[in-house]
Amino acid sequence: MLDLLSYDFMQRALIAALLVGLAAPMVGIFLVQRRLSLIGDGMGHVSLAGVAVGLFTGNQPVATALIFAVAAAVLIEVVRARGNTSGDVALAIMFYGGIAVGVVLISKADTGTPTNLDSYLFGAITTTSRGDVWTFAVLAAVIVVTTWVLRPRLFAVANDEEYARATGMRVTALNIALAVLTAITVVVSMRVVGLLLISALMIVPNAASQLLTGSFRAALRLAVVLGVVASVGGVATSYYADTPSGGTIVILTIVFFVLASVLSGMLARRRGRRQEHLDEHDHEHGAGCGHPAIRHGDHVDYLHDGERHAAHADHWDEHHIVAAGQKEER
Amino acid sequence: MSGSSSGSGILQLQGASFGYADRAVVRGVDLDVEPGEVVALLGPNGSGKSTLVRGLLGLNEHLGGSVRLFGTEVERLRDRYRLGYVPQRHTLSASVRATVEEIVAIGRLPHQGWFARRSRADQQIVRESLELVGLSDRAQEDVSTLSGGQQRRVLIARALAAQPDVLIMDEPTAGIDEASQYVLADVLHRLVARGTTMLIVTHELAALRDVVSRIVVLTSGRVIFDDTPAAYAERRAADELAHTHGGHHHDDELPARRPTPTGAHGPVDHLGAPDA
Repeated sequence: MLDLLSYDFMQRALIAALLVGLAAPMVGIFLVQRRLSLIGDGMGHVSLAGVAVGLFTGNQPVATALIFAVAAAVLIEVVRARGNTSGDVALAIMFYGGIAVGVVLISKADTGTPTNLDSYLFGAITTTSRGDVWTFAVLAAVIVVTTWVLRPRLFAVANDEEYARATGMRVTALNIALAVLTAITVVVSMRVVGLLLISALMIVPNAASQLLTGSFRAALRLAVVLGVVASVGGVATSYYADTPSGGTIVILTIVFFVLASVLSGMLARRRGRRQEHLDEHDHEHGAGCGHPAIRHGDHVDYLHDGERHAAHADHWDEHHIVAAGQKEER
Repeated sequence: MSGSSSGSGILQLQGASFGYADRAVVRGVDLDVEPGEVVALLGPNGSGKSTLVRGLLGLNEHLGGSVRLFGTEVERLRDRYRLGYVPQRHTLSASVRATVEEIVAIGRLPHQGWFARRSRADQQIVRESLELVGLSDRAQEDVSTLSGGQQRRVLIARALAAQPDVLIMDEPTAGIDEASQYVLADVLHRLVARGTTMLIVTHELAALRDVVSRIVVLTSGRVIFDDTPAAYAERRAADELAHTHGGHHHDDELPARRPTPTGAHGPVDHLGAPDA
């Protein structure tokens, strides 16, 4: 691991990977929640046109990509807010138009070589310059802080937009904010994972964490951990295995997803076995249901035919009554 | 729940119209609701019940007339959380995990600054709201694992957590099994005992029979009845009588009474008994 850190370009690559691994799943969970998992992909397409315009006109590709991506983000939300059926087609035209313009312009730019196009599409982290890393660090900090501040409201809007609107929340503004955060994430990540793969780093760690957690809070935390491990681990792996960083990172996230599926399947089977003997329960215990309530740690058990019933998910667990004497022996 | 409104009514509508863009669905509605009242809003499908409440909530357009909420013009009302909305369907997104507590805590957001996180007081109010709907035991569970009736109670708790001055419920009993309806009726009784003002859009008056203090009937976007449940039952009985004996007509008869395309499931057929 140490020889890897002795190279400047690898240090920069690992820092960039850390930032991207942190920011992408944080934004991604709200996209999953709003069922917009593929929107980052579309923004990646449009960003390519931005990169091309930058290269063609001799401007900073990161800056032009950012402008294009943010413009696309706002446009997408406006189209979605109108909610007409042709909106879907409008988005498709915008996304494919973006990638087509990108490919054509890059081929005509001075620096336009196939390698150059590849590096934007699939990531070329080792070519990240010192200036790039600073830009990415600032942008990543903006994403992380803004997402953290907006988190409760983004959650509320994605969970129930109508209710959020009824309580006076600025729903449209929050939706645009999320779209812009997505756009910035796409641009920050383009050197690390590439414009065609960025969406995966936003979505797949969340898909994996959803399988293993029971709350939004826990799911978000685990997704960020998986994102950072996949991103940094992917860059390190790509150094030793001599593979492209973007693809390596995404394969790692998918490995995590498969492991999470297997693990959650095993956990579900174990739970199933434990509860097989429990009867179906047509009565819902509650305050004043007639069954004596007993406080039991962090919850309440209800005494029912000599058994203690505790609510758990969609069923009732038996919490066995243990006499004081027996407890000591165990 | 109540409290902060200064003597003025909860809702004051005069000739109010609501609808979409240029099409008014509800026209010329006069309605005053005072603190502590529990109003059932009845009417057949498409009569404009939902449009009316969604108009109050700012989800449909207010097209005309005067609408005052807590003494303030509806367009000027800033503290919209004072209207505690309990939506019709469970509109909760189930695409990611979220615990019951996390959902109910959304109700606290209007009281929190941008940088604030849930305070101890917020937690306490969330806990109390969950207790009121009988879901304290389920606070840490994923909402998507709950039954339809329980999810409905989560939505009530979310509305209560906002500490509103009136609860606006859209079809709270629709589509949930009978056992859950009893639990829900219990919850509503508890709210009535606390003096909570409620506006309940419903098809099934039977389930709410002893909860409501006033009945408003809407047909084709207009209010055609507005009185106590006793007066409503009387009118229904008289109406019934007139129809079974044929011919004999009263001028003030309820037009809503006639069979609707929804047939036996029609809205006002459940309160037939004159014993109310």
